[in-house]
Amino acid sequence: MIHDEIKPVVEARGLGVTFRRAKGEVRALRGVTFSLGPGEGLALLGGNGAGKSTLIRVLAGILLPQEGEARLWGLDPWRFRTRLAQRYGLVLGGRSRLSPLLSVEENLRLWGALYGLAGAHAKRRIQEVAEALDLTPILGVAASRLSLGQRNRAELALALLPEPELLLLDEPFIGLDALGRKSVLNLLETLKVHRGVALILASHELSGVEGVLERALVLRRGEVAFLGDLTALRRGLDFRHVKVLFHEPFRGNPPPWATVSEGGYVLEAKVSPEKIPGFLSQMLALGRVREVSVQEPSLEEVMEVWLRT
Amino acid sequence: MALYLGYTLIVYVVLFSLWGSLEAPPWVLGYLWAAEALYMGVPRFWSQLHQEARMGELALRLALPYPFVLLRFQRYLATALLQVPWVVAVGGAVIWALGLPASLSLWSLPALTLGLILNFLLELTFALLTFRSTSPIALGVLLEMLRLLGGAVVLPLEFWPGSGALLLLQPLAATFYLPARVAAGGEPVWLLVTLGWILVFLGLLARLFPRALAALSERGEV
Repeated sequence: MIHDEIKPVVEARGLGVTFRRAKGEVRALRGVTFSLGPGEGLALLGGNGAGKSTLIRVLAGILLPQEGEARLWGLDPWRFRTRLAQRYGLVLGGRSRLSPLLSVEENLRLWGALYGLAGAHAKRRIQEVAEALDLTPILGVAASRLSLGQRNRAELALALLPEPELLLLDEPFIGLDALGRKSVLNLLETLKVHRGVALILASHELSGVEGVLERALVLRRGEVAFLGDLTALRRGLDFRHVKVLFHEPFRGNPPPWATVSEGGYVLEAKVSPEKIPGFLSQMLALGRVREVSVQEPSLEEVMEVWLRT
Repeated sequence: MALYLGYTLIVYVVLFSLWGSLEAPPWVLGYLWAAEALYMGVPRFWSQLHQEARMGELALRLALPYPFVLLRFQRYLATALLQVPWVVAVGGAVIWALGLPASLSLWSLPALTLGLILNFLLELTFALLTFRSTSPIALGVLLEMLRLLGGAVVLPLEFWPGSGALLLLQPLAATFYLPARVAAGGEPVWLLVTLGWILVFLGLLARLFPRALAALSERGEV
């Protein structure tokens, strides 16, 4: 085990993947290099076709990279796929591993058996994941009768059942409502912090992700456009959301780039950090200011900017 | 299941009535009983595997802590063990109802088991070879025709014009003809040929399977 503590969980060095199809070659990944240690969380960000799913499949040993190398606990995932699958949990959004005719509980039992879970231990694990993912009321329901959100929670349960040390999650929030997403994120955070589970999450649903994952890898057309702290990714944007609440509807003309709402009581604008003092002086001239809030741009906005550039 | 058993009933009634009226040697009826049980009882899964590969579903089956081929074999065996005994029972019922002098030897069990195993390997090899094809239906029809003819499922090789010795050398005969012939009282030593083909196909698959996966990976279809 000392061996594992020294080695990173995930290592990618110069990963390159090119798909050769009838219509020509598609360069899906190019020179992707990063590493991830136990208990670390990485948000995999990028637009459609950026290479997020390809990267997750390479790490799961399903895709063979033509360039560079990937390692999970020092082993080649393509060569040692079966062995490594015991240690990672995988969710590929939109693809289901549930047998439609079996109930959720039967699926979990079958899955547990594949991972060598049996008897009381299997029963206890099924109870634990069912409770954690709010699946207890639907354990007896056939998988074919689940809603999209329920199915995705059940998929996540399959991935968590064998207590993986690494979670590779590709769009795990499809169909989940805000509450469901929040409880899944809380669970992921618990696993990461208390059990040292390493986490790679590719998702377009970014709200709440920041509380769980500390690092981001942004892919653009298969190449690493950013690799670092999520907060640093956001700091790259040179505006803040400034919201000013007035005691009464303000007088005079607001700046043309500001949005006025609530009948003149509220004024919102995106302002560069260095221009905030000047902006606030302008606001004070407009009327009696009751409250001011300054917020950093959301991760969705950060991604919007990254995708546009 | 009822439809499936009804179909096997019709096939057995037609074959046994036909061969029963021809005053064929007694082993022929036993042969047809066993050959049809294998042919109609073995699950066809190549098209499902082909579909999984084309739709990218294979990825989910691969990312398991369990060898993919073994998992597929278990599924195949579970279906076959459900189907083959039923077909054997239907064949036996028809023989009893028609009052025909047909029987199966004690070697039936190992013979049919080896036939099942070789058929699995053949089916898997065929599935891997069709991964590149976008319209494999024609290939599937061809496979069924080859099974019927090369496996001598309807007409034992002894009745083929000329010598059937050459046909004995191909794997389909080792899958259907030889196990059925042994089940009908033939020399058990023939099962060594089936066993030999099983080893050949295991060796072939050991090379073909990783290559097929690598080819799918290269096209981004997993």
